[in-house]
Amino acid sequence: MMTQVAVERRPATGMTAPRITGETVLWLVLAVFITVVTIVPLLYTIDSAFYQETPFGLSPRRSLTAIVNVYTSARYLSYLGAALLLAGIVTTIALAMGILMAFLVARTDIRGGRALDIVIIMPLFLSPFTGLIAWIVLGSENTGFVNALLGAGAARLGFDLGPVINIWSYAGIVWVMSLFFTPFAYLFTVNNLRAMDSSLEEAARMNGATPLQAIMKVTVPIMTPAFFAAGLLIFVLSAEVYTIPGIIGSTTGFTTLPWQIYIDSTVAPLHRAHAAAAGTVMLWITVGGVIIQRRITRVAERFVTVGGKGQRAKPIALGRWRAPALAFVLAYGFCAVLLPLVALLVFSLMKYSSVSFSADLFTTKHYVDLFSIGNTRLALQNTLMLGLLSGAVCMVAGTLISYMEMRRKTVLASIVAFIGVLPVAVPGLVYGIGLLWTYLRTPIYGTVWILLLAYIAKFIPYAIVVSRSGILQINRELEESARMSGASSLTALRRITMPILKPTLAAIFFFVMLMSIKELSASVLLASQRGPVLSVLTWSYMESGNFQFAAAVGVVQSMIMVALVVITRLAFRVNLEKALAKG
Amino acid sequence: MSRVQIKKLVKKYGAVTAVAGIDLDVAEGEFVVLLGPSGCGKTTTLRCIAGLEDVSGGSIEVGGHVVSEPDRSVPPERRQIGMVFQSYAIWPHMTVAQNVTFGLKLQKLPAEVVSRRLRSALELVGLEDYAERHVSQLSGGQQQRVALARAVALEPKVLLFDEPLSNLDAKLRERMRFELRQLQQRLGITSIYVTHDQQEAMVVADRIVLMNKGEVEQIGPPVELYKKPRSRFSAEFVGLTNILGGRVLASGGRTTVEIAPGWALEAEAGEFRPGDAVDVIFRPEDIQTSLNPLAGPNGFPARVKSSFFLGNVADLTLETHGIELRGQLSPPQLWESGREIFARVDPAALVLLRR
Ligand SMILES: Nc1ncnc2c1ncn2[C@@H]1O[C@H](COP(=O)(O)OP(=O)(O)OP(=O)(O)O)[C@@H](O)[C@H]1O
Ligand SMILES: [Mg+2]
Repeated sequence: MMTQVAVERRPATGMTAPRITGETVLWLVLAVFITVVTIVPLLYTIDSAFYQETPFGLSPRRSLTAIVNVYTSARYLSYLGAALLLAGIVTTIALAMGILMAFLVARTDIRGGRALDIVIIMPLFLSPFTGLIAWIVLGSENTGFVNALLGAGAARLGFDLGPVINIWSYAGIVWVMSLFFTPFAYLFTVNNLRAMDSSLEEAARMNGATPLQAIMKVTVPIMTPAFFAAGLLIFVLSAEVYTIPGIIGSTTGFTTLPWQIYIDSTVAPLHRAHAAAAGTVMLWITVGGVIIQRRITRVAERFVTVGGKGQRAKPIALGRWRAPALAFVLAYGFCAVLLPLVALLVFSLMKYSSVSFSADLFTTKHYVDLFSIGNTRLALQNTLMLGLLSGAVCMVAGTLISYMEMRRKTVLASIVAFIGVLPVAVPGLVYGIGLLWTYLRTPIYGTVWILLLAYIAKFIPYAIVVSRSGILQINRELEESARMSGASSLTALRRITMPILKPTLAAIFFFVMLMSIKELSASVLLASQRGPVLSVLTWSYMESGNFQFAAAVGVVQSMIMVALVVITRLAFRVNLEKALAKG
Repeated sequence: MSRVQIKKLVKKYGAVTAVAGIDLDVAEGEFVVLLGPSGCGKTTTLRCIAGLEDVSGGSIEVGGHVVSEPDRSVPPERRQIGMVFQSYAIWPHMTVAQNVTFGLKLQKLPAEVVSRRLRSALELVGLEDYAERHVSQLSGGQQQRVALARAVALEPKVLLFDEPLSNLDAKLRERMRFELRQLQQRLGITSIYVTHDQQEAMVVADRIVLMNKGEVEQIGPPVELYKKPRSRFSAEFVGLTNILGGRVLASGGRTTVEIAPGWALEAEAGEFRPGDAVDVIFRPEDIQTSLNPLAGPNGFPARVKSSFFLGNVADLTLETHGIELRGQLSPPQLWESGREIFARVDPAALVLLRR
C-alpha cells in the first residue's frame, strides 16, 4: 500500500546532494541576468569618466581631465548648484503640501476621508512630462488658456490684465515639479500618521495640552524622521530630473547638471567623459541620500512608536476649516490631474493653437495624422509590449530574488538581493548613458530591447522591495507543509506561495508597467527611430516645437495609464498605493 | 508505521548549536514527546526529522533507511512523514477538501481513492460536513483538525507535531490532548510531538524526552520522569519541587542526609558514602502536616509562613531550620500564618542526587 522511500542504507540512493533544485537553477539564471543588467552599465559609466574624449566619443587614452573639470570648474559647479537649489525648493514645497494633505486625510474629519487617497496619489500614475506639456498649454505667457481666459474676462470688465502666469520661467519649473512630487510626500507620511499610537497624543491632552499643542509638541517631533525620509527621497528624485528644467530652461537660459549631462552625451560635439564624470556626481548625491536615509531609519526605529496597539485617534474636528480643507485637496487634484488632462485633450483637438475656442476650430485631424504615421503605431505597440514585458520580468525576477533571500538565507541570495535594489539609487539618466555605451556595439543597440533592459534595471528594486513585504506576511510553514505533503520546492512555490502572493504580484506587475510607460529620462537616450516609444515621441515633438502632436501623444499615453489604474483596481482589486506604501 | 532512529544528531546554525548530539530510538507505533524549555532545540530536532533542515552531524533513520546525514538528505517530500505545524499552515486559498487532498493528488492517486481518503480523514477529525468550506470560515480548533486530517490522509509512516495545541484556548487544548492521543492509538502511527507544556506531555506520551540546551536530559515514561528525576534540571522542569542541599551522614539500610545543623532526613538506600554532597528532592504533595508530631521517620516541626486555597489543593509555605519548603495539601487544608505545626516526608518519596 505504501511505497518505500527509495533509499538504501549506505549507498544512499535517492539521497540528494544539498539543494540543486529547479528553483535554484531558475533563480541562478535570473540572478546572473539581473546582476549583469544592473551592474555592468553602472561600471561602464564610471569607467568612461576616466578617458580622453573626441567629438565622437572616447579616445582609448586614459585621462583625468573630465573628472577634474567637472569636479572643480566653476561652470559645472554652478550647474550642480542650480540642480541642488531647484531640488531644494521643489522638495520644500512638495513636502509642505504632501504632509499637510496627509495630515488632513489621516487625522481630521475632512469630508471624503480615505477616498481622497486616490485624488492625491493619481498624479503619481501620470507622466510629469505630460503634465509639463499640459501646463505649457495652460500657462504660456501669451497663448496659455489660463492667461487668455482671465484676460478675456478682464477685458469684458473693461481693463487690461496682461499675462497672469508664465510657465516659461523658473517658477514654472518649480510649479510643475512640485505638483508631481507632492504624492511622494503624501504616500510616505500618510500611513505613519494613520498608524501612530494615539495614546501618545492623548497622554499629552491629559497633561493639559490643547489639540494643536498636542500635535505640535508630540506628533510632529515623532513624525520628523518620516518627514525627513520623505523629503530626502523627493530631493534625490528631483535632483536628477532633466526633462522639465531642460525644456523650459533651454529657452530661459537656465541649466542644471542633469541637463548638461544630456547635452554632453547627445549633442555634437559630444563630451562623453564629461557626461560620465557628471554622472558620477549625480551618483554621489543619491549615495549620500541613501546613507542619510539609513541613518534616519535607524534613529526612527529607536523612538517612533507607530503601529502600536492603541486604537485610532479620534479625528480632529476641523470646524469652519472643513470646507477650505477639502477645497485645498480638491484644488490640488484639479491642478495636477483634471486641468492638465482636459487642457491636453482640448489642445490636441484644436486645428491650431488658439484661445478663441470656437466650434470650427476643433478637429480630430491630429489623431488621424498621428496614427497614419507608422512610427506612432509602432511606438504604441512598443510602449505596451515593453510595459507588459518589464512588468512580467520584474514581477517574476523580483519576487524570486526576495523569496530566495528570505527563505533560503544564503549569503549569495542576500548579495543578489542587494545588487537588485542598488539601481534605486541610480538616476535614470546615468543608467541611460551607461546602457547606451555598454550596448553600443551589440545588435540590441537601437532596438527596443535596450529599453527593456533599462526598465528592468530601473524598476527591479521596486519589485524586490514590494515582494519582500508580501513574502514577509506569508508564514513559512505554509510552504513547508506543502513539502510534507509531497510537493517539491518548485511545486510548493507554484501551488502555494504564488497563489497566496497574487495580490502583491499583481501590484508589482501593474506598477512596473505604469512606471515603464511613463519612463522618459533613460528612454530619451536609448530610443531610436527603429524602436520608438510614446514617452519619447512626446519629448521629440516638444523639442521640435510640434506641441499639438505632443499633446495628442500625451493624451494617448495618459489614457493608457488611467485605464491601467482602473483595471488594477476593479479587475484585480489591487490598491496600488497601498501596496506601494507597504514597500 | 516505522521506527525512527536518531543517532548523535547535531544541528548548527553558524555559531549557534541548536542540537548538540541527540540519541533517540522511537519504536513503531510509539508516541514520543520532546519536552523542554524554550530554545532547547525541540523544533530543530523535529525539522531535521522532517527533512526541512539539513543536519550538521549524526544521522536519522526512518524504517531502517538513512534519510539524513551531513551533506546528504532525502528531501522532505519523499520521506512520507506527516507534520502538523504550530501555525496549522492551512492554505488560505483552498477549501478544506483541497487542503486535505493536495498531497494525494500530487501522488496522482485514482479519484476514488482520493475521495475515500478525504472522507475517512475528515470523519476521523469530525469535520465531515466542512469539506467545501473555505478555511477562512473555520475556527482555530477546526483549522487544527484540518491540519491533522491533512497529515493523516497521506497515511504517513511517521507523524510529527510541533506544539499543535499552543494556539488554542485552555479548554479546547485540554480536550484536544485526549483526542490526539486516542487518534494516534487508533491509527498506530509512530508519532513525535513537541511541546513545552508538561501536562500535555504527560497526557499524550508513551515516553517523554526531556531536552535541555540541545541535549537529552532524561528519557522515560511520564511517571518515571516525575517520580525519579535524574537531574536537578529534570526535577525542576517537571512539576513543582523542593530541592535541599545536604551532606550524607550515614549510609546503609537507609541514607541519612544532614540538611541543616540539627536537621537530617532519611532516604532509601543509595550508592552514597558518608560525606557526599547531595541534593534532596521531593514534591510538594509529599509533605504531610499535622498539629501533633507525626509517626514514622522524617517528622519535623515547622512554622507556617503562608497558606493559600487553590481549589483542588491548598498551597503551603513552611519554614524549618531556616529553610523554606513548599507543600501542597490535598484535600485542601488551610493553616493560619505563623502557626507552629509538625510536618513529615516519607523516605520513599525522597530522591537523592549527587551534587
Ligand atoms: N534558522 C535559525 N537560525 C539560527 N538559529 C536558529 C534557527 N532556528 C533555531 N535557532 C536557534 O536554535 C536554538 C533552538 O531553537 P528551536 O526552535 O529548536 O527551539 P525550541 O526548543 O523549539 O524552542 P521553543 O519552545 O521556543 O519553540 C535556539 O537557540 C534558536 O535561537
Ligand atoms: Mg519550537
